[in-house]
Amino acid sequence: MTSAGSGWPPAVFDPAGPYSEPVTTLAWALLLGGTAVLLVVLAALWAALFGSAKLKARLGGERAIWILGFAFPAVVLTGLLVWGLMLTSSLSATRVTGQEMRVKIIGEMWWWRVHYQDAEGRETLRDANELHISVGTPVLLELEAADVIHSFWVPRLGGKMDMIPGRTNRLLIQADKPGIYKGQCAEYCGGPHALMGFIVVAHAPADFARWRASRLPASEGEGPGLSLFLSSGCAACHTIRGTPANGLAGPDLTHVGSRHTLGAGILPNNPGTMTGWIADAQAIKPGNRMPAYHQFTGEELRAVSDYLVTLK
Amino acid sequence: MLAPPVGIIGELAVKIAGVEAGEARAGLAVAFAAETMTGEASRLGARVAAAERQRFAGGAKAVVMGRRVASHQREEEEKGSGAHLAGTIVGVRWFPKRGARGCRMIWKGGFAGSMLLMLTACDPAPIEPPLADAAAIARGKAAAARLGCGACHDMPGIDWPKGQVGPPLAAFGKRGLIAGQLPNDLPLLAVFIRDAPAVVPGSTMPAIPMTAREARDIAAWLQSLRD
Amino acid sequence: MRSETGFDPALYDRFPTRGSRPKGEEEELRRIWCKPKGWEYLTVVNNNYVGIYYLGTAFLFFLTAGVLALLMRAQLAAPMLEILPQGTYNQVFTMHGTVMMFLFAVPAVEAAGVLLLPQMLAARDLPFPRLSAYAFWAYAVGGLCFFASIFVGLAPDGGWFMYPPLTSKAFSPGINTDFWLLGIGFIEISAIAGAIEIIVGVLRTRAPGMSLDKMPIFAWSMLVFAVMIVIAFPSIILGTLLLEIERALGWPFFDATRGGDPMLWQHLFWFFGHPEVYIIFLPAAGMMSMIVAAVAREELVGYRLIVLAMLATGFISFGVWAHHMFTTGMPPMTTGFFSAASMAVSVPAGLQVFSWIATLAIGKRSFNAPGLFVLGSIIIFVTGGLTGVMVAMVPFDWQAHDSYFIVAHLHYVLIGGMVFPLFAAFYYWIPMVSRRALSEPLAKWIFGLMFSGMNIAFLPMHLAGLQGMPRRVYTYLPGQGLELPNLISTIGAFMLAAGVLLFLIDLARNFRLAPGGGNAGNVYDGGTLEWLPSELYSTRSIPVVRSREPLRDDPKLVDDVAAGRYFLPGSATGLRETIVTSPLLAEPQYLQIMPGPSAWPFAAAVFTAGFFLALTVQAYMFGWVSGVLAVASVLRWLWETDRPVEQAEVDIGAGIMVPTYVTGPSSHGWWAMVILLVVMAMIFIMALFGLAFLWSNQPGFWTPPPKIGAALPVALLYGSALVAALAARRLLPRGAGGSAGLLLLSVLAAGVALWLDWSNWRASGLGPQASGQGATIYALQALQAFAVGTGLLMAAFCAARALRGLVSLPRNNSVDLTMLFLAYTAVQGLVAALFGRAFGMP
Repeated sequence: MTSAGSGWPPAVFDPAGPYSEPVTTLAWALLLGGTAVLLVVLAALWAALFGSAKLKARLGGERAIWILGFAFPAVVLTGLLVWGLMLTSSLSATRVTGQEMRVKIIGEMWWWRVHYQDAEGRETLRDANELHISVGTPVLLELEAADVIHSFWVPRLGGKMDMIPGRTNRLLIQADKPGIYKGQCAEYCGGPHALMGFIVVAHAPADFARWRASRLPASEGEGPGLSLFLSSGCAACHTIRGTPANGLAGPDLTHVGSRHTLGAGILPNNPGTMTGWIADAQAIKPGNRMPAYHQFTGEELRAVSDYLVTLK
Repeated sequence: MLAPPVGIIGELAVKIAGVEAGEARAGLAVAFAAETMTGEASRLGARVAAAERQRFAGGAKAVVMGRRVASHQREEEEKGSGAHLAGTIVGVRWFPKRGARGCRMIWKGGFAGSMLLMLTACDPAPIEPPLADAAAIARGKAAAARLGCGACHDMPGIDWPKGQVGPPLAAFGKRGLIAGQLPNDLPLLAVFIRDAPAVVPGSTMPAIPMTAREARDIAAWLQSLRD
Repeated sequence: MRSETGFDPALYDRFPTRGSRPKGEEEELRRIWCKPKGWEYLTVVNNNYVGIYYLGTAFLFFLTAGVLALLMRAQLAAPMLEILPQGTYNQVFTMHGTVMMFLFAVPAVEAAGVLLLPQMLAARDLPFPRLSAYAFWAYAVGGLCFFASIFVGLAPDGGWFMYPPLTSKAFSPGINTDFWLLGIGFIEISAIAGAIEIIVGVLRTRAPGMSLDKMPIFAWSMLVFAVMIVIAFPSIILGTLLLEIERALGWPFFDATRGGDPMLWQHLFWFFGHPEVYIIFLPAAGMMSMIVAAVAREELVGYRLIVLAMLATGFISFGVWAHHMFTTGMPPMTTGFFSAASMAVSVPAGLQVFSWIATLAIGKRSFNAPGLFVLGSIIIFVTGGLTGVMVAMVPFDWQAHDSYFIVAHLHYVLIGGMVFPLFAAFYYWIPMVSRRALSEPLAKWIFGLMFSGMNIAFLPMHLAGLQGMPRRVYTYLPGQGLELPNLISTIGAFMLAAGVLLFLIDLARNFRLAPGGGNAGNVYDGGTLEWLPSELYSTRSIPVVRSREPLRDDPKLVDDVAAGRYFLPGSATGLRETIVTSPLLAEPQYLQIMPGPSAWPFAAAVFTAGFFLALTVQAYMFGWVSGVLAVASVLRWLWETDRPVEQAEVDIGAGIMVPTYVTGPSSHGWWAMVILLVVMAMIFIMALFGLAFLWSNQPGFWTPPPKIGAALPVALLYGSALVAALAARRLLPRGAGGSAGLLLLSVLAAGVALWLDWSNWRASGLGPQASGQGATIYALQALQAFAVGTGLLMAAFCAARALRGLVSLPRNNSVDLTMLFLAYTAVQGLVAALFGRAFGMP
């Protein structure tokens, strides 16, 4: 959402993995088929108005209506239905093999909790607003919602799945090329729903291993920034592992300095934007749950921001 | 300071308006104090610097030719308090701006210009600092948007964010000082943008990772903001 | 075909009668069906006026919701604009959808029915004129007040579909959501009332001889429309009721943390929501069929196919609702079923389209105003239908759902399937109600702007959706390639608006209301009965219908009807009348005496609106007072009904005698009550569904119900209530007092049964706020209490009538209808008592 993507080709036609490619094929077939049918109807309309007498007579009979309006659609639709049913089944998250990386993502207003899990479903790592995966590995997402209904959608990697309070929905995605894949919440959740974005970062397997390793250690920083962080109430909402901050209402900040974006996919992450977000998140994402911190002096603001920037 | 002679009035007609990054504009620089007018992508103002008091000029009126651009986002009205001079520049070519904003350049000409030329004969034009080229300005604006400077600053032509943490940067080009401390000239501004605490100790604005070129481009853009 | 009522079809041969009619007969008709003056414009019940009011109000909402759309498009023309800040935009898009769907689309087609059906069927009016007046005023007053909420920043902002938990009290604490919930209440009442009218009107007040297969297609489509409303609307009625109760009283129907389920709302909403769009489409398709035939100057090809197609569409459309929920995690088998049904539902629509093309093929080519809009409609609707098939495919829908692709799809089908046919209908039928027809040359400009504007606006949205732009976003970030499609869409939207504006100008210039007589005439040469010369009393006489396009097939029909040579050339009783005919063959059965202008429906509507609005703004005292006054107005209105006239039988033409007062299953009142009971039963069934759904989805929150044995006294009491009600009708010939007494006894028994049931549940420890189970159980009790309360009013009404000697013997309609209602109440209570205890038995 932050860096320039030209939007072309459209995300649905630019698949990057096995859970989106077959859908793209289907989409092409539907688009071309639909266009063809439209042309047939337009041709029929044209013929009805301007065609020869013989053609008009043919079109005017009940036989034409039955063939064009019933037989032809029935055959085509049956074929499509079979294709659709098979594809639905193969993409469905009921087909798990146990080899998938497991991640639980919880939709909040208006950000995302990302909890990595091991194969047995135990939590190993917490993050927010970004999902790091390894190229070529299927990822089983367990999607939940903390407050209202949200929907997880990264079009280049797969379809969307709603996050509904009281339920856990499952979605399989996989990236076959390294890169950054953008997503956005796709179920109206009030307020700045339009600014609830998401990033999936796909690494080559070796890079992914390195990334994992870098994530596990807790923070070791300290200094005036950290003490201000703790004393200004930030710790009431945010967790930084390795420090006394263990608030759960907002995103985990243990490695916030190395995130690609801030504010759930809407701002680039650099010391400037970090400062701006801390000072007045409301001006950037009106209505979000983080209050503005107008009480910081310039020096204090710098201190907190510099500290968070170091949390790589 | 002495007012520059009247003759400076022959002016440059190339008004670069709504230039996106990399857009080339052919223009004729004419006469003396060539002044390349730049505006943000969304608007092209006919620059009528009525009664502009520059730090070098003493009551000189800058008369400049400009093109009017209709913009649906335009906040400031060009109330032509001064004179719009018709261009007698020939051969000035300009390309319509591409992009979604749809700004247009309208060349305003007319013989009234020559008349007004004489009227303004008594007003010396100020000495404007030389401005960077149009491509750099365009790149600078794009970089400012890409780096998220709006997280703290309200910048003209960048609709979001419009952060209020730092000062708004409208008409930054007219400011005498950067952060109230440094003279507002291009090289210094570039350094400040890249690493503010280094030149203004205690500045809340942090050092932001960017290339030197990006910093220069952003500085060029900021300095071009004159309205 | 054999006669269904014993009527001898040879009697039709007496028409057209010979000889001239008595002097003053026509003047008498005019006097009885007189024009309103001054305040009477508020109390008028004649469909000629109510229909125009209705259509005008619906069109007004179309324009206002269209302006909201223009605001939205302006905001989305470029990234991150601030033309509408976030909160305002969220209200604007919610209102746009809500107003278009609830205040424009359904009322507009209903209005077309109110205005056109009596004329098409050659009836003098709809069977319940005061009911349609009430429905209109409730809708108008309520709808306008609801719309006004946007001017004070109180408009709902949860989307037109208002999903909880976003719309629960926790996340929408303001009264905006309540405005929606209670505001939609009017529309629901209005729609149900209209549906009852239309079903009874289409099936029982057709011109004699107009058997079902000679009925105009529009009448068929309105019949399907009305039946669909009766089955589908109760779902949203229940849903809005439950959500409002959850917000106001904390009963957790949709709160997953307390044993409710947000998915329950989705099922209730979409079980209504999907048929809703076919409710909107089918009447428009019916209008299309009639206009295509007229424009092509041919009889409609495939009449029977189209009727079948409409029935099939109506039926199948009830099986597709969960295609709005493909991304909610339903198992593949479920999604597969709904995918198949969603594809199937497109086939009958295709049949209709090719029937229209066939009619155009054999007919004359004409690019007049209705003809152009018909062509535009076919093209746009087919495009929308094709994208509909695309999203019926589940994997594709997983990408397209909740993106701008769906916005494109829905606007193509709705604008192509309803708005363009509506404009064709305006051009086609306005000459029937206006002294001047609209301008043909200007129509070409209007069509051009609307057609191209619509496509320019909505075609790029397919692309934006596939690029990843979700719905209901107040803005989008730059650099995703969304700028160009959005800008183009905005330009197209304004072009479309320009077309509509031109249409408004043309209306202002040319539309001169002529509700009866003096109209511009049969400009497009239609062949159906609405083109007979008519005044406020409809046609001078009611013809015998022998074919589908009587005006085409009998060139003398127009003169004969105007000269009074058919049925009912004057008033047989000196009052307003129409003929009630049998449902299949339209054989005359009896003469219905119809009401004149009355202030009570207007008063009842205003007080109903007041009740709902006051509750919304939490002015509870005012609300309850208003509610009581509404009920009082309705009772006062009903007091004037059911008054037999002195003539037991009258001559309706050529010596054919029919009764003037009929009771029992042939009476139109009985039919109306049965339809109302179907509505109540559907509400009840949806509540039972809710209970079953929560039981299967939230078993952790379930507590065992009280023993079923405890329900025995309850069952017995309800049984006796049923018996008492039936007996009241049976024993009426013996005296009105006894009958009324039995009715009251029935109510008493039902009331005691309810109290026992309720206490039993209370004693078991379950409270309504405890869990989803509690909430639903007590909701069922509340529905039953409503039924018992209404039954009490009805029984008391009958008792009052008996005391005043107004109950006719041996049979009386008021007693019959009360009996029906009380019998239903008893059965509903019994089922509720058993069902609640059946779920979760250990």
